[in-house]
Amino acid sequence: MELGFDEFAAVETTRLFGLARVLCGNEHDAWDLTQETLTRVSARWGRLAHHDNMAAYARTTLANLHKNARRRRREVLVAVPPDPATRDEAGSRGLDAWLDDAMRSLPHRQRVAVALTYLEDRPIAEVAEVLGCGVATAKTHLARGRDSLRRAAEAARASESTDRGMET
Amino acid sequence: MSTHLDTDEFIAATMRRVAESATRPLGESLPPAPKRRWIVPLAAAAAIAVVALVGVAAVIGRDDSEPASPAGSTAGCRLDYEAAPLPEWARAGFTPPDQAMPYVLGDEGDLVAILWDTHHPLEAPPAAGENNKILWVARVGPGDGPLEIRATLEGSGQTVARTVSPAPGPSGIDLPSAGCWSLDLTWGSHRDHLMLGYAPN
Repeated sequence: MELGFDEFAAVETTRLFGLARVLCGNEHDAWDLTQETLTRVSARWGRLAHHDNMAAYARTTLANLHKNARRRRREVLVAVPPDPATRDEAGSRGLDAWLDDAMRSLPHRQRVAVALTYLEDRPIAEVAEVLGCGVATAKTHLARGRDSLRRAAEAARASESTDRGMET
Repeated sequence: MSTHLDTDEFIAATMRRVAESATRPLGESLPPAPKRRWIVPLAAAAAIAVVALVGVAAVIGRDDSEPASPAGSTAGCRLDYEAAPLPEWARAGFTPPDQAMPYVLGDEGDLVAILWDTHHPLEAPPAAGENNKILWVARVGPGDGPLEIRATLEGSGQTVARTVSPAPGPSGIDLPSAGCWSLDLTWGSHRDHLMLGYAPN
């Protein structure tokens, strides 16, 4: 049975929105990105009917749009998150705020690579396809992004443990 | 090793939680499904192409006698647009980059309005469940937004203002009535102008 766009959108909208949320760090930009991605996939649907992997195509489009949006907004990349959350701020933003801070500090390709891997469990070959690079290069992006995320995650866990200790 | 596995599981769990807890902004409609405009029967599209080739005006809508073209807006106000590859500087995010899209290039050549549809991409009032989606891409000063739009309805002098922010970028530009609108565009220190036709709905 040939998959129609409506069926594709019904299945993929939530997934794409989740991926966009992790990449963008906020829901409004994520929703704009998701809509724009689906609009572009929709516009090409007739010609993409035989595309081997529509999900990967949609993610490639989403990643490209995200990169473009970052350029437009002149997002500044720095080694340390520009506005690291204090304990109080992190508390008000939720315990998961560290992830947004850590993701924001990653270059675009590293951010996409870790999101596709951790969130969607995509194989490295598909990550490479979305990034438009070779598998070896994709592995490098993933490894660097993963190292940064691990450091941030360990710091967040340590902070969480400290908070628990203070409460008891 | 086990530490990394634990940390990786912590990262994955956090990412899933963030993704799954995301809620769509209030008031936002569902993502656009292929609209009727994207599923124009091939026969009709072919007929339009043939008509264009022999130079005979197509009679689809009120203003469709004018040959559609992605040329600059000085060619006049249109309701239908021919899809063509975007200027190279406007192709970021498109896959493949040279895919044909309906668009209007500003008179100064510094901005394009990408319209997403060849037939009546803009309507006033917008059709139920749809919006007048325009993607603005700037050749100069991308990110110098917001994009300030001063739109004047030809023949009436009616003027309205719209702001797109962050911009240039995606937008929904609804205008109060159908007709030929002259848009003066300002973003940062840059200016351009183009004409857009809004079809009656």
